[in-house]
Amino acid sequence: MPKAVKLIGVLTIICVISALSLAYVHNEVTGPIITEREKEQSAGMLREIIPDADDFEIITDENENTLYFEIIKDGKVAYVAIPAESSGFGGPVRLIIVSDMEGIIAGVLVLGQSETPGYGDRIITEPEFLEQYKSLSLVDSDFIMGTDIDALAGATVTSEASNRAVRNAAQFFMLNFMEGMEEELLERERDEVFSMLEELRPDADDFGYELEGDEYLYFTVLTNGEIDAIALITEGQGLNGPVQILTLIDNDGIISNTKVASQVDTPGYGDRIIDEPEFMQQFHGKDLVNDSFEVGDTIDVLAGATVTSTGATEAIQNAAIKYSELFGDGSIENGVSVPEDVDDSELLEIIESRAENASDFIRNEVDKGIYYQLMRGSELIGFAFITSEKGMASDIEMLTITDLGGFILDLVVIDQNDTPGFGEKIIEEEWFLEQYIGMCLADSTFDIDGEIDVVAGSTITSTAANSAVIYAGEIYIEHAQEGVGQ
Amino acid sequence: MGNFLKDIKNGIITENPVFVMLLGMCPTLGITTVAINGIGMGLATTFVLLGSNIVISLLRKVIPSEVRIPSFIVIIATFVTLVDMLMNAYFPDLHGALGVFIPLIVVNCLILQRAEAMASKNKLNRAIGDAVGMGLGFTIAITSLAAIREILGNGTLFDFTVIPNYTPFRIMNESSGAFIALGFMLAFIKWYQLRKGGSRA
Repeated sequence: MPKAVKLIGVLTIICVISALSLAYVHNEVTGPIITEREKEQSAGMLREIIPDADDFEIITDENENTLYFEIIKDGKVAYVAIPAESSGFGGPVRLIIVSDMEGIIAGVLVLGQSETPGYGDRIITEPEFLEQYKSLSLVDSDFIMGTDIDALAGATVTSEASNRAVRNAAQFFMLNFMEGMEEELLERERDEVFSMLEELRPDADDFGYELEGDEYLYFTVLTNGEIDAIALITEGQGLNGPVQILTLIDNDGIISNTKVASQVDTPGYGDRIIDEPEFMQQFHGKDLVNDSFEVGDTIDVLAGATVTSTGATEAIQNAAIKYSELFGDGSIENGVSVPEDVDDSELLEIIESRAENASDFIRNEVDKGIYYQLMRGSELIGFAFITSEKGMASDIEMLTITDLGGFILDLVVIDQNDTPGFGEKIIEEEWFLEQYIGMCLADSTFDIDGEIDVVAGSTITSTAANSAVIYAGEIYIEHAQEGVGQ
Repeated sequence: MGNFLKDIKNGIITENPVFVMLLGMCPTLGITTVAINGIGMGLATTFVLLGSNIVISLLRKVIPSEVRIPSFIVIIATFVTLVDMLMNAYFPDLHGALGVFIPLIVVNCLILQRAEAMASKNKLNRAIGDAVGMGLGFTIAITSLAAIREILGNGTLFDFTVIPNYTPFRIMNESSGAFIALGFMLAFIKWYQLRKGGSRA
């Protein structure tokens, strides 16, 4: 026993001394010198582009990673320099893109690259290539190869890597320096996805989406007002960069179609996942969550494009993970669900606070939900309906209070646990519930996008809330109305 | 003192790590494109050898033999990281040129071999002599290989033009050139030794 203690003790002491001495040297001796020099280096480089700049400032995030540089002239920030990279032929191509505050590019510099000498490194030796970016706008230009930018012949992969890096910088610029650009970017992304969906599902009536923060969770395909399929965009690692796949999943969790949304792999090899549809078709008809997708086992690899095939498969596996995170391993249900575990006393409190005129409440349970007859003394003055519909992650429970004629007086979301950030949007966006006030349960059809507008970015939750109101209408017509005694 | 000098000579000539023991091939082949890299790498390795040999020799009675290898590796890695940080701070150009090969000194078998075979079994003065000898031997070997590659590949030596209007022998700049150049050097050394031995006999 003491032997073991000695072994552990000696090794531990050596490690501790090692760590302490390295930390000391890093923090007290070399760290400041390195930081200072890096700043000078980048400043010197940026001076090539903006020779009359007064000062340079490095902007870092909380972990002291460089985010971008500010170039100061005449006492204010006149330019920003954004580092960006994308993988080229031999490794990452790292650029720094300098633009003024309007997004007009003042110059592009190569920070680092390890491309083949004589080929890819021509992005340095032939400055005409990067000169092409000068005066283009980070905001307006799409940076399309062949249209906006000519590739270096014989160095296509490197040219495309540089172009992707500039695009990344453009995105960074728009998100950080342009007001309201988040929406614009989201719209562009949405339009791209919608046009892909249109190609895959020309029969659909409409498409929707769920948004979380500034990221799309998923897209929906709608037919006859109901969600018919879900589309997920996921990526895997290809040879030169990410392989993005759009996966279309029907309501039973079965992959109905796929599309390669983007890939940057070698022409003639990796891009065969597009040219040879047999590969992607292997995924079609399979159960996204419950089937396994293993290259070489359940999925045949494209000979000569192993890395790309694996990347595409990885994207599908990621889609499965995302899908089960979003919807559990079940599927989206369109249908009635009767409110469960509703605490009656709590519920009554809400109803009482909303229907102040009523003094007594008679509870009725029917197959589509619960409704209360609101009484003042012995006089029936209205109804309160509790209905629910399955939302994205949980049931959406709605309380609908009407007068005797079925005109909606008040509408309350009693319970919703849908994913934070967008599920609660139907409450935050007050206009959504206010749309219903004054509508008649007996007459209205509550058509989505007809009589009712959904909350953008919260389609499923809004649709579920709407369905709950429709059930209230059905209860009103089938049960409650009888008691009015007309 | 006689032992000390003998150890140094042993490292440079008799048991030269590159030409005789063929140790540390990874940096030998990887960074020897220009002569200055050879000197930088050689001195960095010498520093690590010296540091680790000194510490390991001093601790040789403290470290139990069961955990000696992990202990050696931690000690070596500490000095390598130290060299990495110091070079980055004071010789950034050289640090950039040597790149990943600096952290890779950790796995240079030369250093672990000297720790195991020499430093952990001998007193401090011999460990220092061995480190200096092996370090210089390594430096001289890779610098000469790098010099040959630089002259053939670029027509320069330490960035000074030695052959004007030279058409570069490009393969010398690639890793395959390192194998070829090293092969010829080893063959030449062997041939020289045999000839010397032969004439004596």
